Amino acid sequence: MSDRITALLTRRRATLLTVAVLLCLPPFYLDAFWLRIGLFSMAAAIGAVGLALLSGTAGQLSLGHAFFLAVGAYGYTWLAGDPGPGLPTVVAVPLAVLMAGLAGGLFSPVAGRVKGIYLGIATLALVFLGHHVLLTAESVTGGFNGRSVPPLSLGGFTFTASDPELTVLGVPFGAEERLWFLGLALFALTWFTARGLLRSRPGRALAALRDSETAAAVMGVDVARHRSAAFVVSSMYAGLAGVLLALAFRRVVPDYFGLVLSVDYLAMIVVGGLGSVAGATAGAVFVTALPLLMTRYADQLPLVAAPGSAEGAVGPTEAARYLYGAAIVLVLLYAPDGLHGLARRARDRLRRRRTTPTSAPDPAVPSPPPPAAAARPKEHTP
Amino acid sequence: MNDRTTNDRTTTAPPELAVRDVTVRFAGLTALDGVSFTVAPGSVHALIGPNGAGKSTCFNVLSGLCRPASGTVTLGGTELTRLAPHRIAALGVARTFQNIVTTQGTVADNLMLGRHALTRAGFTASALRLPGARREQREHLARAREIAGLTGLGAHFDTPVGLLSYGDRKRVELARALCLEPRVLLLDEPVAGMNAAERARTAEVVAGLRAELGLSVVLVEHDMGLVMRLADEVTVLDFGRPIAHGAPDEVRRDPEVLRAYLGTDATGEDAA
Repeated sequence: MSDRITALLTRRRATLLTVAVLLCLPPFYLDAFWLRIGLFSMAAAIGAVGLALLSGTAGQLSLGHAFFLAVGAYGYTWLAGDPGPGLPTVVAVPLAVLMAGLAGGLFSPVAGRVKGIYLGIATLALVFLGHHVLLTAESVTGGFNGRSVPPLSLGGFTFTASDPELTVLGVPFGAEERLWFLGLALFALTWFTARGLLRSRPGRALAALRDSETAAAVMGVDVARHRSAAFVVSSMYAGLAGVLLALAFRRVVPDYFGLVLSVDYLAMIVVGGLGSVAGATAGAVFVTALPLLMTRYADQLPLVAAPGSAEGAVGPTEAARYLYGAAIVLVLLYAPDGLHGLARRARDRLRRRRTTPTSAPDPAVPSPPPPAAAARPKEHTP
Repeated sequence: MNDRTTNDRTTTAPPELAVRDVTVRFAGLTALDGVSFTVAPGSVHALIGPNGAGKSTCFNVLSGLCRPASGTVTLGGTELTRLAPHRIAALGVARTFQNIVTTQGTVADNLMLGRHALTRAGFTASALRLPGARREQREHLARAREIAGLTGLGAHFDTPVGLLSYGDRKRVELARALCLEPRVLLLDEPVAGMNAAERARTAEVVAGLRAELGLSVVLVEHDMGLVMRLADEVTVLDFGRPIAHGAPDEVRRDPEVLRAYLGTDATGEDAA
């Protein structure tokens, strides 16, 4: 028994190592376009994991995620920039994340009391408020045109095209290559912490709140405190995502942080599967990469016009939106537990094949549904 | 068993639970009307009565889910009526529900939820997987496994609750309540919908708990056989009013009780 557990552990460790190595390879082979897709996906994944904790695990809907992304992005820009305190960028990153957490905390009188979909409506106000402030507080935010983002520098190392010039294994390391590794590190941190949370006392308490508030309360869970805490944690992940986005964009503008962005994040966690870190990541990559890819390959796609060309045709961004709208509908209809659920069921099926090689199912006979599919926990709406 | 996870509340006698003149009104309907009873430390106190008599409302008052219009509930020297449910849980009052209320995940997840009030790991410590938080989780998981064994769920410890049979899921609720290391255990129809074998098993578990852990049990149950077997004292409610009180044998002969259960033409038949 314990041998099997150790074997499983080492296998898991080996898988983890392989994935880590694979994720380190792209900067050596792919050009800046692909790296930027990866960067935006990583940033989105960090934000989506935060929203998954709030909506998927704690069952609290938030439409205000864009606001906290903005707090992170603008917070970093202001803290590290001029006008602003001009702090060292390394200090500005955690401070910006804390700022987003603080903003979430200030909202906690609402977030702790209001439940589920009603919180979604309440947070809607944050997006509009935030957008208005970004446009009008020009001395801090730069107004409509936004601000340029000071590049991050760690010690003497700057995450820009040069300074110092860097060539690794014959590949010149520009901003994208460097930021890729920063993104990976932050993404790894997100996975580590979010999974730690989900599998321990606070995670169980949040899931209990989602499933039955009364049962949770009677078992000793302080309902309001945990709801607020979930909101703060989710805001902090959003803040971190905002910082990475700002670094990747190199410029922050108010119009990016609108309601559509919040909806995009909801789409990510729905497509990926509510309440799982891996699902949120998959959904984030899907929703982020699709419009970028479609813009790039617009001329080769049927029914999609190249950006800025003929009127009346569907632009790539709109086409991408239609596509992921369709994806959401399909997921809700046929795989309510999202990409993560699909993957899990496929894995269970594979594992069952592998463990019972002697009684390999006759291809003519449809195999019975795997137990995981039947055991799928009851659905819930955020 | 490690000292850190055993709670001293299990080693000392539970305090007395006293309900005094509790009245609950829901928009004109008086669900509980001047209900008083006392649960002696370490005893099993049954709360019986026809459907709608206010038994579950009484439990909701005891666990803090429902605030009475007047009256008090005290546990030892502590007044419970003004406390939030999670504070009452922290004092060692655990309950089960009439209709099963488990959460998603495995039996282990549910039982570990029962350890919530006894554990400390917060968001930061858990997110960073600090050694203290991990050790705490390990130790409490061991105790949860023990309790699962005690309630006959040992084999299902890592099974998703959704896969379990009805009787097992009811037992998950019981085990989860026990994971709180309660001093007072409120059981709302613990054997409802179970078959004879499952009933006997649950009755055994409850009787064993009381003998081994010395906790006080408040029991709401329609199964009179079980009530008569387990209870030291019985309080009978009818339309929110207490109509009889005493030892099981006295109560079953009380004319008021027979009337409440069987109607006005009762001929002295056994209420059970």
